[in-house]
Amino acid sequence: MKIVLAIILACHIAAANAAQPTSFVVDSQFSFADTVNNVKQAAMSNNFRVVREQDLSVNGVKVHAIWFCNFELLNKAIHKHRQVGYLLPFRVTVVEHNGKVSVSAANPDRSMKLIRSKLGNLCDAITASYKTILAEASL
Amino acid sequence: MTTVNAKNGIMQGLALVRVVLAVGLLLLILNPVHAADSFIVLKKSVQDYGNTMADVESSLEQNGFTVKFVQRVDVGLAKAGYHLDKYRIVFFMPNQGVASILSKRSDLADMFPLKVTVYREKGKVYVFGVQNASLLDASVPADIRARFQSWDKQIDGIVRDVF
Repeated sequence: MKIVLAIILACHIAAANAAQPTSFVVDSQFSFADTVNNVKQAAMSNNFRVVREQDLSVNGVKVHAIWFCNFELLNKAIHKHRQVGYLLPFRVTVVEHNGKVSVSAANPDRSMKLIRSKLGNLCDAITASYKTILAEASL
Repeated sequence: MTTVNAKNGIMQGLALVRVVLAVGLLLLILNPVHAADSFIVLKKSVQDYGNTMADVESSLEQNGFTVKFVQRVDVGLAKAGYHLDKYRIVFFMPNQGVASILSKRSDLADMFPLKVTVYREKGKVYVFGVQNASLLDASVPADIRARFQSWDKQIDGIVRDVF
């Protein structure tokens, strides 16, 4: 009985983890150019500094990536766990495909679990920042 | 009497084995990715920082990738008043396959460019890359996953081949 319960519980939690998306994606109500601007404004208004942006468009898909940084957060995270640099600097991507504009960011929780980082609240802060910026840029 | 004791002993032993198996299974499944240890490929270099960077960049080019830019994280932090020993992230694009992936799944744009990090800590130089396919959720089709796995294999080789 205990084994059955353990398996049911474990399967339930594993399914929840597997359901975690690769990225957070939000459709934008704005044009591609306006959305790019909105992302930069939203990053700055959330205490981030834009450190780089790059056009990564490929045939038929417009892609513009914006990297930004909160140096205090970066400093804390990287000194806690060197491999957290995989996630840094923060990045939001604006994509236009088939006439639809969307904004997205990689789900930090997914990679943090993979590196078994003990970033704890810092990871939550990163996720919250991403979600705020995506919402501010797209709505 | 002896038979009863022996039976009890066997039963207790079996119960213990079941508990151990259940706990083991639980821990295995609770872990989000069983192959977590292999998510990161980390290698210590015997060369100095500059030569390691040059080696990584040249190896990427030889493997069909194009280096897009290098993010100098340590320099950025220094400008903001923080200290970090050398820490650079090399961003690179595969020369083939990206357009085909993004035309099918534009939501995977965040996965590109791919990256490898070279950093120095306590005088030692390290290179690390990640296995990007592990980041793909269940909705990603097998052909795209296979493409990422093939790049991951190359990244693994590039990191492991660092001297």
